[in-house]
Amino acid sequence: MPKDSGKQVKSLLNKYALVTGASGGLGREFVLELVERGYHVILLARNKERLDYFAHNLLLMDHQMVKTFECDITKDDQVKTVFDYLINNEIKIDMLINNAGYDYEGWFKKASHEDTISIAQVNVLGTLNMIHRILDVKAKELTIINVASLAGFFPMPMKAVYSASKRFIIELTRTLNYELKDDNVHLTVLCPAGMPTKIEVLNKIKALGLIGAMTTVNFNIVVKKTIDKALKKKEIYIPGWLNVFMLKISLLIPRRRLVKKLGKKWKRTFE
Amino acid sequence: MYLKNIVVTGTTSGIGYAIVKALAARGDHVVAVTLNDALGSKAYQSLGSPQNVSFVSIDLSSNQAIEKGSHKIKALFSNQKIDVLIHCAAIVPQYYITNEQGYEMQFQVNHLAIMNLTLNLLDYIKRAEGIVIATSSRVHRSATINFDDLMLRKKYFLFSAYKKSKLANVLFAYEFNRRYSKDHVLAYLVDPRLVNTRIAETNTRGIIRLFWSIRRRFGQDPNAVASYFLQLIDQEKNDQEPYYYKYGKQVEPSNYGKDEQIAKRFWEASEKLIK
Repeated sequence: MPKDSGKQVKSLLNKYALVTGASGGLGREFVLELVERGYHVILLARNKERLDYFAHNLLLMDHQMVKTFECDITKDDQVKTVFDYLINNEIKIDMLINNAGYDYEGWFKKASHEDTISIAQVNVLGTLNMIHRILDVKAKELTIINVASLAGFFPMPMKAVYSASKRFIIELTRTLNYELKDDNVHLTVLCPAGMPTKIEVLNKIKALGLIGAMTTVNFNIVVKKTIDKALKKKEIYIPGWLNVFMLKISLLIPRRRLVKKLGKKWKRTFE
Repeated sequence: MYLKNIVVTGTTSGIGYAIVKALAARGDHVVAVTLNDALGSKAYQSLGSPQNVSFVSIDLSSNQAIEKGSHKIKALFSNQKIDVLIHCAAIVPQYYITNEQGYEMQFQVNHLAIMNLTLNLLDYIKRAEGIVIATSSRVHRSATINFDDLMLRKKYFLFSAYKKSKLANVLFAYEFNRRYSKDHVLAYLVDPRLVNTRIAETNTRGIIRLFWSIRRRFGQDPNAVASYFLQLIDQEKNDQEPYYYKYGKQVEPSNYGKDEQIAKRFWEASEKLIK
């Protein structure tokens, strides 16, 4: 009889991970990886139906826990419900993945008021709320993974609020690592370039041409490496060597010139 | 000639389109499945808007859509019978991408969708004592199933994922027959060899896209390949193994593909994923 390949023994950790934005492409992959590593998972998303549909078919080990919440992280009452549950059930969190994010691409003046404000509300205030509250329910050690973007290193025309919001996350990660060191809290920030998680994004990368192809990384690998690096207490993870290289080069260019250059490049895609 | 109720997926282009074209000319009652309405109406128009063909859009990457879509298909067959279900839809994306359930796209579209759609239409197929045809490939011969990582999360490479999905088709068809041949329904596999289609061009780029755009020129004309499918539709039902057809002749698939225990385990694992 032909034999199965790649057998491995999985075991349950007695650890809890909380993931925001858990029903989206990247969020789901984080959940799959955490579940495979044996974490109990607490999943937050705005659309509970979509989240439950995903969570329903997770391949769990015996006694592995999955709990889903409908939670918009910009609504404090909804966030409080989640934390009340954790406190009442004496659940201590070992890993927080701040994955929920909001994006708008295009001219600032053309964006609706709602879109513009939502970016800052979700990416900045929502994430901040999670980080601040999680300290009350943290296990002995806590690992926080913040999902930012390569855009956070640049002033990006057409993504003005988004890139600024991600810059906030990058700097927050750095400073909190200093402040919370003695509390056994470690933060890692993930700064990916374009990542195809669905077919539509695939087409966008195609539009970017050669650079798009060379800077694109499979997101299942990114997720695995992010968790590995976070557990090794690495502060920043930028997937793809070319992305790291381009970032280093671009940091040598004066900001004002960089804005102009990036603006020219992006403008074409929005005209 | 006896006109049949026939469902074909992946009918925007390639083999699926060629099959629908051939069937449209014969007068069979055909339901053609495409990804969306725009692609469907484009294909329908280029066929010359035949009256015996209806297009239904189903996003095969979504198991919810498949369930809803099966109702749409069934509604089009007033005698509640499906004589033939042909699976041609397939995808070969360059990158690891997932559906709303977190399932890898090739595993979903090339395997789970086939199983899910077949099982959803099974009562109609049983009523007609019909057949199911899946499109496999000889590349299944070098593939095995890794039950710990069905979706290739650990290491995705489009060709290995493709091979595995084609092996999945073999395992599915053989297990289907073990389970349902008592109900006088049968599943077959057609290996069309290399066909001149855009399968590896749509969601890839760079070297892989170039490689395929050259390689496919050496492939057969999809219209010629369609005849292998028509032959299975028209011949008297053959319940003798092997169920794998190449150039219209029965050929043994790989031993792995015929393994009963693996097929059973794989069926059960897949069934869990589409519930």
